[in-house]
Amino acid sequence: MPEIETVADVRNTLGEGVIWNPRDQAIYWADSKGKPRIQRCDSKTGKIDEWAMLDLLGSFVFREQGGAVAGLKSGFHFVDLETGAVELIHDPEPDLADNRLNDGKCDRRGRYWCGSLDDGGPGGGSLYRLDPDLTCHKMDSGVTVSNGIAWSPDNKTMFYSDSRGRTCYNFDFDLETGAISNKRVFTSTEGIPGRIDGATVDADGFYWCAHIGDWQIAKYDPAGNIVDTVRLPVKYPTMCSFGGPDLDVLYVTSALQFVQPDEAADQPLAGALLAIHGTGAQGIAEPFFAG
Amino acid sequence: MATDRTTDLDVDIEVVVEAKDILGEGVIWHPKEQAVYWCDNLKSNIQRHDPATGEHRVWDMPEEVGCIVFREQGGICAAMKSGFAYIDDLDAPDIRYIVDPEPGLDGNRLNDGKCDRAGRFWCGSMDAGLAKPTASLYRLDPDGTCSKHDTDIICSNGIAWSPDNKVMYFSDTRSEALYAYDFDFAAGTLSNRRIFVDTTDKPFRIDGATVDSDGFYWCAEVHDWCIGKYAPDSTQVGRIRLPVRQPTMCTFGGKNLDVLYVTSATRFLEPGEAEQQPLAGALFAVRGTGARGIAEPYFRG
Repeated sequence: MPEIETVADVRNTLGEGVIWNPRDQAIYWADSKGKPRIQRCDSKTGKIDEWAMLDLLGSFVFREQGGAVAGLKSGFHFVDLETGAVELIHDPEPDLADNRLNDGKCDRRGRYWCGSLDDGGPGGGSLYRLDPDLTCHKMDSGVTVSNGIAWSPDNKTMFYSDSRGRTCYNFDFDLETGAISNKRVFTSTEGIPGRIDGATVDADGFYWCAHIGDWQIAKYDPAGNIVDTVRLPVKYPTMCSFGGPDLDVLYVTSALQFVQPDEAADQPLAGALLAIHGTGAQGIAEPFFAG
Repeated sequence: MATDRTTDLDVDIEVVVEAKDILGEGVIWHPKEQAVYWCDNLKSNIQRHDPATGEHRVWDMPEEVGCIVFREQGGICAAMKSGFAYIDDLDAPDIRYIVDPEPGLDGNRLNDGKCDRAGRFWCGSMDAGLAKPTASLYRLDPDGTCSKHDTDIICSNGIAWSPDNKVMYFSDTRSEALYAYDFDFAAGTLSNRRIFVDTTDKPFRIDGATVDSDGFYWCAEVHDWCIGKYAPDSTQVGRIRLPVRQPTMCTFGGKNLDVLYVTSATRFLEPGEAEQQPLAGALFAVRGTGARGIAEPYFRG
């Protein structure tokens, strides 16, 4: 029976981008809105640190050489976690005022994949790949809200969701070249509660995905079948990632911004960072950005 | 859109297996196998349908089976006429009885049951004659101990839990009452029983049921052609009309847990009714409810 721990009752407007850092054994995550910032909770002391961002923050990854790369509304930025300094790398969408960078992760060659979302309407978002040489490539387009980026353990399949389109896709993934092809539907939440939000793949290849709006994390097998669900005390979980010394704790972010007035009393933990213990699964360490 | 009992939900109904069950019950989705299982209580069998292949299996059992749950370690735990039993392999059934909660009550058998989210198997018994309040509600723990949690029941049914584990639902079909209890999840105990739905003046009784991820209670309204959808405040907010008058139990399954599987019965058909309900006893799949279920927990024993 999985047990849910409240790691940090931080009441994030939109918690996202949760990622474990093996170097300092701490869990990091983003509050995308409200006060856009990177947050860090030390797993031993429970101490919370914060790094304020310039504008809306979708996701971030750690750099091999230290610090982080963040996907902000104003583009990809280096973040110096010692000084808090933020430095622009590239803005892939300078002319799209309603867009911002959202969900992102590094593949196992250290390329940062990050998709944008369109707050202005459907279909204006794209998927980008920031390479270690800091060149940026548009890899897909026509999505409304990019989410759920993850890779199968054998690197042959990439997962990518359009959560407003209620669909999670698979691509064939070429690890060597970083190319994607053969886009097809992995699963859809059309007509049923919950949308596909942030996700991760465990060491056995199961896709663990936040069902935002439906109180749960769902565990999908590689064929797209739900094989288990974990009920949460919050209706709007947003992203999950394995962490902890043994990578067997599933950390989950959540959001306040979707909570309706009549729902608030039922979820006092909305916006908290939660941890699920006892799933029986183990994650794969997130790769560092190689640039 | 205003909804009430008379509002029929706009859904698609598929006939999955024309099983002609005398009393189909105990329908449960197996997420690892992506298959649906159910029992015919009176033909004393366990059945399985694989939606990917269309395969339908029937395993005859040596005595009546009320319901089954899946064990975490594999195999099933069955609630049978002679008590709770483990069956590791349905193709080579070696039935290993764990405990008989009612050794002296020959007119009773175990009926509706499910696991709570701590992996305890709750199952109620029934008077096979549907008349005497000789039945009880039991909890089988993972260590094999069995405890009694309510008594003076005629026919146990409708076991399900609210998504937050604070409420347990339990129907005594023949007493015309669907009850709600306060559920102490940590202790596995019940208190504060109250009537959630009273069917005394209704054309149906509450049979098998499930709770969706938003907390709505979906139950078979046996004798009146419908699956009812009830809000957590007990208001009926809709119904699904079926081509059979005796739906008996429902559960969510399918790859997205959004297909409502429904069992039914030929048992209660009046003379002449059988011709008008050729699908009586079939297993149905209802799509388009707009709801999603919660994966059924495994028995941890």
